[in-house]
Amino acid sequence: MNITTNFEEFARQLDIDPVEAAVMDVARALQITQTMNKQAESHYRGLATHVDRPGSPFEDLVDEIYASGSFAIHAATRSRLKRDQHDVDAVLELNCPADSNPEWVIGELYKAIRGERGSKYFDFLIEKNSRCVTVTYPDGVTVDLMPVVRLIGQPERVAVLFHHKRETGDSYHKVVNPKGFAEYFNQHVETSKTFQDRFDARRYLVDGETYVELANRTASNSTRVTLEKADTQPMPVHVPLDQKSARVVALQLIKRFRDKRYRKHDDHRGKRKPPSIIIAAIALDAGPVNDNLVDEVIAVARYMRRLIRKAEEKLRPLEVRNPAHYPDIFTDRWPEARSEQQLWSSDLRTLVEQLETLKRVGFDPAVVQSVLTDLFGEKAGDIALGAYHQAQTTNLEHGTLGMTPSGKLTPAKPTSGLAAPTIGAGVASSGLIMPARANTNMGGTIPDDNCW
Amino acid sequence: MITVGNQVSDMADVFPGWSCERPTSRTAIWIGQLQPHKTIYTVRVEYTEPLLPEGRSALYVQPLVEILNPKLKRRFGNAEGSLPHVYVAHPRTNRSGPFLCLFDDKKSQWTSEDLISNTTIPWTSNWLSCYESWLATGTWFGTGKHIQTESSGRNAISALMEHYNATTSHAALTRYAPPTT
Repeated sequence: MNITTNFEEFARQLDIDPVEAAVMDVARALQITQTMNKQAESHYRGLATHVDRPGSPFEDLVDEIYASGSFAIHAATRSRLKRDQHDVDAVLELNCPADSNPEWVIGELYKAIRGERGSKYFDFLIEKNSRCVTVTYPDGVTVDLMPVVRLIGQPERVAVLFHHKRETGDSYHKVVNPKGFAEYFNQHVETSKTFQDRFDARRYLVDGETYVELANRTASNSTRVTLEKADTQPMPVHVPLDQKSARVVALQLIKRFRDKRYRKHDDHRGKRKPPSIIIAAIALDAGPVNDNLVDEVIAVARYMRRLIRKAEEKLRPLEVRNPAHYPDIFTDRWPEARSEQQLWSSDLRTLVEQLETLKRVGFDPAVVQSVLTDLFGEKAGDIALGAYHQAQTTNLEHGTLGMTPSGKLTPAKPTSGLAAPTIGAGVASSGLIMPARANTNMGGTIPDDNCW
Repeated sequence: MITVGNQVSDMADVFPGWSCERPTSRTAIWIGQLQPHKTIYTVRVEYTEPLLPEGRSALYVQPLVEILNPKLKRRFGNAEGSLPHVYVAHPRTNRSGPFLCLFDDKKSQWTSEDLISNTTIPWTSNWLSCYESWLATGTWFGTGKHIQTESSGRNAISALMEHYNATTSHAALTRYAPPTT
């Protein structure tokens, strides 16, 4: 359906509960754009070339680089709602002995990236971590570059990573398969045409363009710099998973919720947060996917709580393995203690309870504002309320907003012939009162010192 | 022009739960309830059919909408004022307001040719919805613009009147030119 030319059909389809729509609006604001995606890829590919350069400690030893973590499963999010910052995880496959000293590998990678004075990354913020080197770009984007060595005679893409933690002296190798997990996830996560259409219709209603239109416009803008318009051909747009799978979008929301809890809540400070890959692996097994995003977040959160409860019953930490490579244990660093999984379980209970409150209360601006901001931080409530009113205005302008006699405004099938001002003319067959036209709230403001 | 009698019939048809009082033959006052979200508001709408040819602006003859209960709250220190998109007073009445500003008269969004039931009332519900979001966030997310201030460069009395009328000049409401100084 072309919703840009058939608004009537679109409006009928868009019978989305306002609470569901509000959560969709927050999710859309979290997602990274196609431009950010390309920029991220350009960043990590540039780093790989740099590490592979003549004179580098890893000169000609870089076999491959690819995205891992959330980027590889299309669940990446902005690190700040209002900014274009995001974090990228990338795996750097090196051609060096798999039993190399972890401290040496991490250290040499750090030196390779930093380079000599005057080289590209010399003045960037570069940090050694226990398994990766983090490069922070001037625009705030960070790339976590994890060196691995592919293992021969193992299943496809199985590799060994290098762990070295200076503070504790821990140093070891670990067999992993991040590429295998990403491929497994992307093949197995369910998508839904119903969800995709509703998510895209909501985008159109609020932002004025569909995902494909947005992608074409963005591509056209970047191409126009070098080519005459007549020379450009629209490329088929690949619609990523975070536009068509409610489960992937739910993952993005849960990640945002997690980040907010571990950043803003005092009782979380200094504690390791549950890694995204664990949440993603659990989400894959959380049962059939709902078309409703709020229900989907609740279902994934409940399933994760259930797994933690089962582990707690056995007085053990949660164990989650890579479904693409069983020896790869995702939970090797989190939870380190049962208290960590108890904390996260308690967080998930808050998430479920708050979303259920939202569902029960219905769309009430004060509740939407407080709950969404509490769950997802920053301006999540403002974003949802702004989008709600934008959608109402779009519907009003298209004659697809009706009002019940009690005053509830709701999307409606458009009516025609409202121009003749006869008695009862504004009442549609549905019983909704259809405004004759869109209006503009005018008037002035009451200054603070007015004594009214 | 739609007569007040026709407005009364139409309102009774569309909003049978609303009360209607007729203090004069040309005036009707409706009181009813609107609930855009959870809060139920008691709304008062007063309309006086203009005499022809009165030559008044739509802002002057407009239905005057007040929220009787719960009383509209103010947000002090807000960039958009403590309560946006209202008139504190209106020259057609001695009531103290505030009255909701629901349309742009320059775009003829409302005229006396319009039914109140499918203009003023749904716009009021939408205004209340925007008001609730504004109370929660401090941002007016609905459509809206403030009538351009007319006090700059004008005499003190006009400026005072404009201030009293919540930045909207008396002249804008009555469309009578102020005396030039």
